[in-house]
Amino acid sequence: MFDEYVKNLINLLPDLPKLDHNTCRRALSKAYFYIISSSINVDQDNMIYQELEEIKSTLRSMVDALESVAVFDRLNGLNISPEVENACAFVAGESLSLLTKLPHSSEELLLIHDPLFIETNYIVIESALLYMIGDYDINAVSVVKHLSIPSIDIEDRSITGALRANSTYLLKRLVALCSGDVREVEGSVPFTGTKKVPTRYEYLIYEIRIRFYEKIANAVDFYIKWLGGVDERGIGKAIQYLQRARDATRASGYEADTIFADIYHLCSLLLVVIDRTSVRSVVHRVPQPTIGDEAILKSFPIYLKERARGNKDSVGRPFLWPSALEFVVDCLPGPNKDVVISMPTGSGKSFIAELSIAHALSRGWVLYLAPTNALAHQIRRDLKKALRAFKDVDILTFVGGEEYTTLSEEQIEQNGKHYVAVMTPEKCSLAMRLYKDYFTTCVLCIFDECHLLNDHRRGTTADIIIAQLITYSPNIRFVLMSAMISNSNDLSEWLRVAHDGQCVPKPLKWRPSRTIRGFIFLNKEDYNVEFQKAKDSLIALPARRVNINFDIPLALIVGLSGPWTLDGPPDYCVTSLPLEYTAKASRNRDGSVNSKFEGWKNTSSRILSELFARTGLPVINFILTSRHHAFSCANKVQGEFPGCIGEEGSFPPIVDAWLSIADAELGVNTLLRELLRRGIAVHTSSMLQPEQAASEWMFSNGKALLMFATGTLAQGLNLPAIAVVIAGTSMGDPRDTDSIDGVSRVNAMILNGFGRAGRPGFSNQGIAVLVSDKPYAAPISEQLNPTGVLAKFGVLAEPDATVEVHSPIEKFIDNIITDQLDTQTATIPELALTSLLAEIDEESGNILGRTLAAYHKRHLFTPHIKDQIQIQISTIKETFLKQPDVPHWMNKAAMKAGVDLFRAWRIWSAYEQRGLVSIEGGVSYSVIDWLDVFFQVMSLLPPKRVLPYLADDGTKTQTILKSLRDRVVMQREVDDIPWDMPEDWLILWQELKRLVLLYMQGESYAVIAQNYLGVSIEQINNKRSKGDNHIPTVFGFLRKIVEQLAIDAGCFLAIQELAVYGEENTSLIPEQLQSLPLCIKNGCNSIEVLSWYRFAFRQRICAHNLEKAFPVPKNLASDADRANWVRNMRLIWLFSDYDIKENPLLNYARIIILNGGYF
Amino acid sequence: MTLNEIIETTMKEAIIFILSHLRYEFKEADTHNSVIFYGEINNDLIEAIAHYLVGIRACAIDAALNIRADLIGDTDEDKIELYADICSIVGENNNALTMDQIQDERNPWLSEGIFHLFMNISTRLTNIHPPGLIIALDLPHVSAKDKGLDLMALYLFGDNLGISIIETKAYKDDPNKAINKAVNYFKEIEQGKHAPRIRQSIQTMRTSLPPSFQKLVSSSLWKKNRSYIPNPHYDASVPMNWSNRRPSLNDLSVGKTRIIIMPHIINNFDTFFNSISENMRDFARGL
Repeated sequence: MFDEYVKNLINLLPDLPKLDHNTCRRALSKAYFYIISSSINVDQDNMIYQELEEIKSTLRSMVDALESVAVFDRLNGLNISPEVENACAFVAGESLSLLTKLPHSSEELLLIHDPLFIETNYIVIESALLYMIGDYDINAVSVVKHLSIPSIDIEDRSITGALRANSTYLLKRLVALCSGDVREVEGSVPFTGTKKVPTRYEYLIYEIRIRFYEKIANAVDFYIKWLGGVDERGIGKAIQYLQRARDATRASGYEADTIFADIYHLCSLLLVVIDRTSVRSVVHRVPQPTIGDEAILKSFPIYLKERARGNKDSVGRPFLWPSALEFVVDCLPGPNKDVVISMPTGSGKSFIAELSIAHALSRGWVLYLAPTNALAHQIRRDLKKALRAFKDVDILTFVGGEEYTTLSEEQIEQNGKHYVAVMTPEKCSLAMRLYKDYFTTCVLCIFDECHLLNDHRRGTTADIIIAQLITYSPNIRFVLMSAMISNSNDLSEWLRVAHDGQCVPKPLKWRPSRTIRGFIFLNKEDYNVEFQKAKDSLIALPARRVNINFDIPLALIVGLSGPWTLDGPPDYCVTSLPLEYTAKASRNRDGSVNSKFEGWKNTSSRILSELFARTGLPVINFILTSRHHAFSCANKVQGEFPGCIGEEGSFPPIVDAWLSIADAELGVNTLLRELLRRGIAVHTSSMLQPEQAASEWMFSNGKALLMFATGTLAQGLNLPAIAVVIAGTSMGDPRDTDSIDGVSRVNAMILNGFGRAGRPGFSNQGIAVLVSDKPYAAPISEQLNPTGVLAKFGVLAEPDATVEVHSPIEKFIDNIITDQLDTQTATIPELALTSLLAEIDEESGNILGRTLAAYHKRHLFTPHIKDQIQIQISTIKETFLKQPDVPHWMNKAAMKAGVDLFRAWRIWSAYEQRGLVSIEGGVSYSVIDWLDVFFQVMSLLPPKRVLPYLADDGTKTQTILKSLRDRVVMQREVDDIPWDMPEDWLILWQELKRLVLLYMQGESYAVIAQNYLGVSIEQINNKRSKGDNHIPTVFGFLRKIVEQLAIDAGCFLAIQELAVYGEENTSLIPEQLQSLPLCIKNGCNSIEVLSWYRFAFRQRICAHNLEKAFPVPKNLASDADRANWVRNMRLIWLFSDYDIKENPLLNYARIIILNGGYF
Repeated sequence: MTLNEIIETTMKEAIIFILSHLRYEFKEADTHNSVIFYGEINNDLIEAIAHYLVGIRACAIDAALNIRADLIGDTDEDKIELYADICSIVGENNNALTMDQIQDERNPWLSEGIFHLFMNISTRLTNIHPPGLIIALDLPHVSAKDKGLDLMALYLFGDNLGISIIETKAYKDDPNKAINKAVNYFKEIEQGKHAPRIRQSIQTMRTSLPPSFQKLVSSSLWKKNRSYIPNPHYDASVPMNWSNRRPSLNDLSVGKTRIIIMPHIINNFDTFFNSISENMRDFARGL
């Protein structure tokens, strides 16, 4: 269950007789496994229950002894190191919190007029405080979350009423502290003591308690105020009050008086909490940036206070987690060095990024590289909220990706303002190609999910960007972050060598939750018996009967020490599950019978996930093989789950809005609506963003406990669950699989899934279960040796981060150094890279020399080699440009558009053949006119250049793509223009254009499917289980065709720009043409619709409707004017009484913008 | 002499007197050990016990007042009328309390107080606490109605610390019920109930220990060095053989040598408690 950090903590525990570290780990893991087993109704006679009392007894002893070391030994004169105290506090807190979840006899309500005195309440607070001492304050949040606190009755002025009121108030304030809620509260402690001493001894004790509670509550409030930056002396006062209260408990004159032992105990805990957590205070520990813009420097303390306090809607973040603390101490102010952060999912990467940004902003602008556009927008929303104290700081995101566009609002600003630009590496690469000078003032680059460098496709771009930033941005710092990299030292050394010698690796192992890893298997004994029975039955049946079903009970084995060990049975727990898998006994032609396990991995992982969800545990079932299986698994789930809204319930408005937009976009009711009603969410790339958002919301908010997801969920999104089930141990067909960019090994995918188990703030522990591709059978036994499982599924023993990052440019460098770079056989990214390097000619050797690839090849990369590379790249360029019909700007066009040279050249040739549109001719062209020209050009391309469009689309019907492919199947290598095109070739291209146009006109997916698949609209259904279902086919069409067309349209734009307008006349390029790539990609048929899409709400169907409701004036002169107009009209739309009854879709859009963090 | 000095002196005298008159016997059984207290009850003994009980109550009140004064930073010498407080426990006379109050509140409190006295004496009469030498002893409950631990003591054995948890019951005719209730209570403790109170109390009591004992505390907590002391007070007319096996004790994890039944066998149970009450009132009235 334990990561390396926790294992190290446990190793720090003091020597206690018979408490070895294995005992400790195993007791904690077994306790958690018992809790899980009992919640999923594992048979009470099961072997895991036999040890329960012993486990509980061990945990209790750990609490008693380790709390004593953590808090009280030092107080009584013993010398204990803070590290040992922290370790003891964490283990004691963990033990105590697990004990509270284990079954125990019902609590008598002792002294019901004193809620803090109720043992169950006190234990919760005690374990939360211990977690805080142990540096796990986020675990304290989930511990106190479900504490029920009575309301305060200030009307009851009796002494017991006053005691109850003060006790309740103190309990509330303790819960606030443990929850990290340092927002100011109105009111104060309800009662002080009586002026006169009560006449009865019993009442005297009550009265003293009232005073104690008042003092402690005030102390907690003082500390909370200090944490929130409200009262600078608050911590001193808090300590003074607590010490005074604690001293008073010992002032009785009777040495062993325990009447106020609870007060003594609580004060002691709180004093240590203050001692330990104050050094992690966000307000007081994060240093002020030292140089730069005055206004930003002034805003910085306000920012810290706002972040610590939060706002009326959400709790702030008063404490730095250990990982953030280490970063703050080592790297701020500044950041003053580059840093490569490798830290587990959910352990606070985003906050480290945010602190770096807040520091760097005073010196310039910040580049934030995110792996996907969707994530970039999410990051923008989060940063906008987090950094709002910096009034003049903008957070920019861009609609465009890698497709070339020259629209002004798609450019990074260069107006001296301080801003954060969040974008994908591809967008950044484009910006760098076009406006590299802008990057001179970039002072910080955050590279989120930097294992992307490892991606065979995207890694080239990412590696070059970093090298370019090192070259072009003199004052830049880098923060590279990933949860998956295993070679952070290596990356750090790269930056140190390539940049300015200031880089530290930060492999921060702290993680806020613990995960138990399990493996599901068949009970071999039952299997043998049941199969024999089924076999006998089948043999007895007539020969025409081929199959007979039989059920086999499933079992679960979990490792007790985190990644699985070779320590044998004591390090494992085995239990049968209340689940059965239905296998088949199947008769072969020769009469023999064997067993068949059809759909084993998806079925068994689904039924296990269902089991978790039905008992209230949020679970993600990761599907590795196909994005479409997520829906097919979801469809097989029967019934509904706890907490779901059900058939009759209403969706929350924002979810209803997302789903309604999805319905409109699809043109059929989204299948997700019915699934979400039953508490089942789905998350794949073959879904609309509104569908993903609805799934995320429902899962995050406990309305859907079961989520079927693919790798898209792992791409930066943090949607942790308590349980994770991984279906399968191998990847499926890459065309159907949602993988994580940069992660090629299936084991890394599995480990990433494991990392999602545990939900900080909700559950401090989680369980991750692996389901193998084929069933594994073993006898259920306490002595089951896991060696057999480990031999087959070594991933269970691997640590969380296992991706060793290497740049795909390494091969390119090998080739270029050995003079083997062949432009005919080079990959497309290599060719694009060649174009880029050729354009930056004099710096190409330097830039390439600063890549990660060059670092890994440093033994080859001598200064001489740099020169050689430069010469060779120039030679390639010159050779290429010397070919007949290659214009001198050809390489530049390819470089701008980010496509390979040969493709750009062929597009140019096709355009030449079609005939160029002159400057004058293009003036009055609309977006659709340009689309016509573009498609005419595309239709002239030779087969070799269009084959990527014509790959199998997975459909069974004759689609336009199949027709195009069939026509040129024998000419696939033809690469000349003109070429001998089939008779109806141009007509087919027109047909393809018609489909693309439907998308751009805002037609629904159903209409596109109808036209693409040649079926009637009535026949269109909303099924999503297979790639060739109607709606998934359209997703495939958009992904494979439209996105690629947008990139080629960018190339067409670059060619038109250089061939017709010339670089001196770029201001004359019509915006209609400039917007063509974005219009194609985002489904807009005019610059006006695109404006609504870009500046108001990034939903295609809504943008079309907004343009209908609020047409953008045609006479606006520029992109910036349209942006302003749309932004102003958006305000009117959102906040005026504009009647939108005619268009309910806009009402849904409004709900999302105003309530979903889009405003 | 101040009131405190009077009380202190009287308590010391009471202890010395009781030490010389206390009769007890050690017995072994299969499931437990016993230390049985008995003896001729005479007026002097009753008076000594009553003085001790008033003294311990006065100590508790004084302790609370000291805490209050320290807490509010007040040096005024506030007082609680001791006589009235004693009457709140034992009544203004022996007829003032209902039978329920006598059984459920007065007698239990007096029993706890008496056992506090025995445990206090054990520092000088070490045999009466076989697990080890008591080095810190808690005060009795404020009120017998209070739930939770009746009495707790820290003791020393070898290089270890131990905790004695004492459960006192006063059932005139039914010592078995007293034992059963106490055993149930100890089982609750083993199941983790009352754990916070025990932790809190130990950490508070350890502050009174000298530095040399401090390092023993945490490891003793881990080792669960713990003794259970069921303490039934009952009338001598009920025949009981404390050497008999008591199977219910087998359910406790600490083992035979750490379960010490300490019965207090009282001749004329009612008269004994009435006399103590009477003597307490007399002593408190005279202060």
